[in-house]
Amino acid sequence: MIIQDPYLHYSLEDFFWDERFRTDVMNGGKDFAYWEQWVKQYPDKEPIIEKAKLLILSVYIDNDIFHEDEVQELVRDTQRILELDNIEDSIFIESTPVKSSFKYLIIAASILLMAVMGGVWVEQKNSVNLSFQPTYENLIKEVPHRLIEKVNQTNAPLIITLPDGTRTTLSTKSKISYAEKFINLEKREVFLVGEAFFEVVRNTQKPFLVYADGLVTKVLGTKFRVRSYAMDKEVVVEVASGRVSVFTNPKFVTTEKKVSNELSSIVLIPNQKVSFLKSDASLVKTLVNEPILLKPETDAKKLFNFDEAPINKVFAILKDVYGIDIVFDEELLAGCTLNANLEGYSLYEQLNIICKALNGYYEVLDGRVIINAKGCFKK
Amino acid sequence: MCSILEAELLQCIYVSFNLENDNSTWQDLLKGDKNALAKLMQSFFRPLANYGLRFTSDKELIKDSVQELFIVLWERRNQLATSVNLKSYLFTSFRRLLLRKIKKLHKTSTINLDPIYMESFSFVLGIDNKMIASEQAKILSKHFNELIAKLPARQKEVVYLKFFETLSREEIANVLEIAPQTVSNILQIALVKLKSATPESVWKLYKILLVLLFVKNIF
Repeated sequence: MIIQDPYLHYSLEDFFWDERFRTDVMNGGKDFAYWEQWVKQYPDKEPIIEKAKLLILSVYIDNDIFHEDEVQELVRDTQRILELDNIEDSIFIESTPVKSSFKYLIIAASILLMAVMGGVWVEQKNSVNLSFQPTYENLIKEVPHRLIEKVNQTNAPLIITLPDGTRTTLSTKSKISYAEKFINLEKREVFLVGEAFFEVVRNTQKPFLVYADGLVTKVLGTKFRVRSYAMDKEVVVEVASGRVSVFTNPKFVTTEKKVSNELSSIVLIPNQKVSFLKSDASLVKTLVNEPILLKPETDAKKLFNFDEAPINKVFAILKDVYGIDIVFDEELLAGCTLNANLEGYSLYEQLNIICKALNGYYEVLDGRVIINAKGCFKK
Repeated sequence: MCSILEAELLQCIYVSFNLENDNSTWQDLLKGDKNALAKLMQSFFRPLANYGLRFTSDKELIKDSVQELFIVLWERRNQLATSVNLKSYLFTSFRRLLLRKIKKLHKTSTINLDPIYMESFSFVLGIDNKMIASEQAKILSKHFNELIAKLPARQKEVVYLKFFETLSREEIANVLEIAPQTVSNILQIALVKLKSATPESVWKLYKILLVLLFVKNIF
């Protein structure tokens, strides 16, 4: 028996709602080639196919916001939570020495020593509670349950897997403490002196907190770095992905400030960092020294090659790939265009090139880039 | 129900196959199969997350909400109904959870809450650069955007669920926790509004679109 092609009976409406046809239209190229062949076979169907294609394309929402890796990570993290909840008495602690590929972490760490770039903005001032010194020793003394302590005395970073599966890369001469199990606790608390990079397993119901000197960093699931060596004057938190909030340890500030403390926490997004000054508990939000491209698959060659590109487009692209906010006067710069290949430069170099073309300058304020330029000569 | 028409039959088999798959995964989940939970999460993450993006552009908040939804499902698996309309059930629960979280954010943040936490619903149609679309499609989508922008949030949401999630009238009613008749009324009003806002010259093109959007399985 020969089965007739069912699509021959399709109305415009049928095509419009047909799952396969829709996907092929959206994907275009090779996928749609099937229909181009099909139309050749049944030329009288061309108008209906064209119309259906037009309608599908004109009501399309760009939903390509979540990367497949993110989805897989979320599913993995969730599975992990379920598994750990089941195996009450399992302990997932393993310490493995790190291969030399982690050298870049050391380099990144040394970059942190450099001065804070751009403008400085004092976000928050707290009065310091002098009766409580938030040293590592004092902080862990207050914890009611037993803690495990890991010290890295080697010259290489040390990877530690916490009881919830969170991966911690502990820098040299650094120390962390955490509960043996997080199962019966409301929070996942980690105490740090020195420097560590955290890749936190997302658990929406159990926040992950890092206590370093007078600063508390609170996340649900992200990648970030905390640096707080005893001899440093400040604590630095840098975000690689996700969202992080930081606030002053309530024990470290006077009562009057305590009430609003959690509320006045500062939220950091990727490529932002915060410096907490130990002496007066002030918090300064800036950008990391080397902002990274947030979309690893970005084709920088294509993206950063600007040819007579309107300046607002240029900034829109930078905003998108670095995930940071760039503030500029859209009206003043409306007629400006850029002719430059910015590939291979760091964000700050790129901004310098753009600002030179605009005859202006930029500053970093409160974790955002502010462009100061009075406009350009119109052609 | 699958009708006898061949063309529809294939489509119908395809759809019910997917539905059956998800439903049997749901049964496995209720029996305590952790992999079933992961499977459902994988197949529903994008529809839920994309729906969530209409309320907020905070990706982290959306990921948190999806995770919380599935963990709550897991914890309550002994009390959940075995026969559910899975898609509309998940959409309903997710919507409630996300809106509660957004409301809480609005309450706790005294000052300068990011504008990314809208308390309303919005979507913008656009032609993806990856797609080869004609000028005509671009013009059509631009017009359509302008029209949609004029609709109140509730009407927008109904249009979205109908069109982009192809939910039925009853399913939309479930998600929004309103009566099915109200869904029809909302769409009717939206249609009239869109028609009166559309210039006669472009109405011809839209008519097909609007009919497709609103009429199918709705009235």
